[in-house]
Amino acid sequence: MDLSDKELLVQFHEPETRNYAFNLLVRQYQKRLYWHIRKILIDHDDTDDVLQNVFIKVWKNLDGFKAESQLYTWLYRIATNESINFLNKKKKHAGIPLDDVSSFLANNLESDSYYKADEIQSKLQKAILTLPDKQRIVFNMKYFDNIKYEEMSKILETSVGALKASYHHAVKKVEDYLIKH
Amino acid sequence: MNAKNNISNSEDDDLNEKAPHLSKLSGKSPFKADNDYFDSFILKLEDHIADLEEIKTEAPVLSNIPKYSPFELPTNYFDEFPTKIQDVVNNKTSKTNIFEWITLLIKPNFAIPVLTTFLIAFAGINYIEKQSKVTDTKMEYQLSEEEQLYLIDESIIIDAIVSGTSSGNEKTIEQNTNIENYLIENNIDERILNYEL
Repeated sequence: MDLSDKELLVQFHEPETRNYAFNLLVRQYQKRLYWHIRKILIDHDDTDDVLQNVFIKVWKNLDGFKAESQLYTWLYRIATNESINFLNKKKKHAGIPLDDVSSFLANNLESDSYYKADEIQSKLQKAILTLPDKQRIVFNMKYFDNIKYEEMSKILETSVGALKASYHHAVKKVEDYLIKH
Repeated sequence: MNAKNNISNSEDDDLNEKAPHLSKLSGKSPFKADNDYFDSFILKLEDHIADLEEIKTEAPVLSNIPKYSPFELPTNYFDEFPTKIQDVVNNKTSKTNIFEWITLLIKPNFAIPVLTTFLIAFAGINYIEKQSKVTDTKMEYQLSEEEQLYLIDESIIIDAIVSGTSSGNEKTIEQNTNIENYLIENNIDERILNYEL
C-alpha cells in the first residue's frame, strides 16, 4: 500500500505507527535511491552501505523534516551527499587524489560481480566515469532518470543555469570519449 | 441509432444471463489519475522529445547507444532490504539511547546535581558503615569478655570472689587491731580522739 508523503509523515510522528510508516517509506523509496547511489558509487556493496546510512539518517532526522520541501527531494539530497562523502573518504583512504575518479571507479566497475555490460555499454560507463563527481551526477540524473532541472536544482542546491551548463559539458565529454575510444 | 441501442440492449441481456453478479456492478473505472496529470503529461513529453533531439544533434554516437542499466543486484535485495534496515535502525536506537545517557551525564546541568547526590549518598553510606564498625567492635569486646568468663570454670570464679572478699576483711581487722594497740600503748583516749576529729 502506497501512502502519500504527507500521510507517511503523520504516521511516522505517531509512536504506535512509527515503525510501520518507516517501513513503508523504505519500500517506497528504496529502489529510486538505490539506483541513484549505485550510479555514483558503481559497486553494489558500497551502495548497500550508503543506502543503509541514508535510511538511518532519515530515521534520525525525519522528526525535524519540515514539509517546506518535498520528501523526495530531501531524500535524494541526503543520498547524494552521503554518496559523495563516502566516495571522498574511500579515495582518501586509498590515497587517490580526489579529482582522479576515473581509474578508481573503473576498477570498481570491473571488480563488481553485479555488473554485466556488453562492449558498447562498458565504453559508455567508462566515458561517464571520466566526468568529475558532480558533473557525473547531473549527467546520470538527466540522461538516465529524466529528472527535471528544477527538481535537480532543489536536490543538488545548484542553480538551473549551472546545471544546464554542467549537463551540456558532460554530454560533450562523453561524446568525445566515445569517438576517441 | 436505434440499431445501436438494440445491439447494446441485447449485449446487456447476454451479460445478465452469463454473469448476473458482474452485470450488477457499476461500469465505472476504479483507476484514477491526478487532475493535472494529462496537462503535465504533454509538457513532459515535449520536454523529453526536445532533450532527445538535442542529444541527437550534440552527441550522435551517445544517442545511438541503447539506454539500459548494466548494473545488477542480488536476488530479493529489495524484498529483504526493508527488514534489514529496520533491524539496523532498532539496534542503533538502543545504542543511541545509551550514548544519549552518557552525553546527558556529561552535561553540567545534569552532572552537578547527580554528582552531588552521589557524593552525599557515598558520604552517608561511609558514615553509617563506620558507626556500625564501632558498635561491632564494642559488641565483639563485650562478647569476648563473656566468652572468656564462659570458658573459665565456675568454681574458680567463686573461689576468686570469696578469697578476694575474705582477704580484704582480714586486712581491715588487722589494721583495726594495730590502731587499737597504738592507742593503748600511748594512753590516748578514743572519745577525745573522736571529738577532735
